[in-house]
Amino acid sequence: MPTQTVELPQFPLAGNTAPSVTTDAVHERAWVPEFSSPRVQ
Amino acid sequence: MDTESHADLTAGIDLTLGSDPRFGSAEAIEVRNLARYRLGLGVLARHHPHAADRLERLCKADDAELRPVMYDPVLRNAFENDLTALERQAGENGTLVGYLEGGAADVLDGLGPCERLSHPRVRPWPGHAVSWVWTDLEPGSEPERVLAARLEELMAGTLSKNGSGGRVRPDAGMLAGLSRGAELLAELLPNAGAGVLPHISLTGLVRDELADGVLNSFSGGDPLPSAVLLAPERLTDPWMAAETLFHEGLHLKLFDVLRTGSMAADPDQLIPIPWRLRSWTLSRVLFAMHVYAHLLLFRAAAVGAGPDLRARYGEPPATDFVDQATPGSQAAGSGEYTTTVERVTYLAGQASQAYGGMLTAGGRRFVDWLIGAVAPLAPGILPEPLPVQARPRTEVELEVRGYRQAQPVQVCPIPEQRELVAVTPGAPSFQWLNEQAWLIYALCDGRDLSSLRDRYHQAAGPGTDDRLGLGVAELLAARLIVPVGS
Repeated sequence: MPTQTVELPQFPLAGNTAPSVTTDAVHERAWVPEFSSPRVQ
Repeated sequence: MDTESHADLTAGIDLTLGSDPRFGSAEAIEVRNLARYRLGLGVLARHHPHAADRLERLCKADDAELRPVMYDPVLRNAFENDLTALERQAGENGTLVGYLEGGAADVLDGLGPCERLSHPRVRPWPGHAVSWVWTDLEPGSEPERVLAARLEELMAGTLSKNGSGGRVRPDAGMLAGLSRGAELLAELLPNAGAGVLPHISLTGLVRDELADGVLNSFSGGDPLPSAVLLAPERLTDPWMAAETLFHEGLHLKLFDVLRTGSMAADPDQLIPIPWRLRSWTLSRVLFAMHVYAHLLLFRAAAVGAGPDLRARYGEPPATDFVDQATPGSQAAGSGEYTTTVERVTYLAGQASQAYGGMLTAGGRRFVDWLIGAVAPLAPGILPEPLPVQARPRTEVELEVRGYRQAQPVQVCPIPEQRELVAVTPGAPSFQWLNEQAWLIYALCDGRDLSSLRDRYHQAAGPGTDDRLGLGVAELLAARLIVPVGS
């Protein structure tokens, strides 16, 4: 199975940033925001 | 504040909100989404080897060719559903491949598959972004009929179940109103306003009666991606059209941001909303806060609109009123929470203080960035700073034999954003590595810990053992690296 090589970042690293690995989550996108206006009483 | 100072203030906030590479810039957000999409096509190719050629061809298309395919609502819905099924190792994962085998992306000429079926073809803001209007669909072949039917099905799935809703075929006046609203938005807010238009692939018109009231507009997450649907009545006044496009385009922008990093760690957390009967999820609070904060800017810019803009588009709204609180809600009796500033102040307090611990680090940065940007427009919006909570240290005893990257490695570097996106082997999920994590990941090449440490210190400087340990822990948790010998 083909695999890639992870190249080192080719730019100077910023100072004191902590390493971070984040992911996305389907639940945050599994909806449709509706904008409705209450009926005038 | 004099006119010039007010204009400078709103222009500055417009630039901040429209240019931030993580949360604002449409171009930067699109780069990350395209990287994710290409990686995802590679994942699908591994699971559907008979379609690998088609998927690889798509993967190698340039951004302008790939973008309309990625943002097509039917294909994007299929892509997200397929990848979710693979990550959960359950469910159908060949839907996108099915559309591609039917020829949906055989021609890469800048037209998305569903747009290709529209007749007449209308692009409402060609000077700003590639987007199309749902006029009518005229499928020719059987695969095209399948696409068209699926788009109708996705839209119908978002309307109320009482059957009162339906699509409206736009007439010339509605189309003109739509374009005029977009032009006004782009003139009023050249960064934050114009910057939502690239996130809108499809605009359609609908009418619907909901339980809570009359539908004004809605936009789609994965169930109807990259699409905005509006009531025609929202287009009769250019200021209302501009504000509605801004509102829904912002939702789509945030969906695109969320594809590249989660914000709410606890999906089920409910938060009471005084102007509504039902509590909202934390995600919904973030979405609403995002829009209300930007509407503060919109309305401030509108108030400061010069005579030329007023002559061309009419007088802007002079009120911060949103709508009445839902009858029966806590705020209904008091008359509170009817304005943008009241609502965004409440939501900001909930997101940053009451429920800030349930956000991811990215979510906390998002809230701080957004509220900090609009604070000059809303006195009192900034909550009292909370004591900084030390991030829980994930102690890991580093393996003396070192680490190697889990196979197969599937990555896409984005050096201009100092990030690398990778796919976790096995049950695939996308992992976004900042530059420090990227460095550690790249150094995990099977050599022992002593070598890893030395090379890391050379790149990151002395005294960085804590960061190395943290990075290794995060990469292990994401299943991107494994100890040597495992």
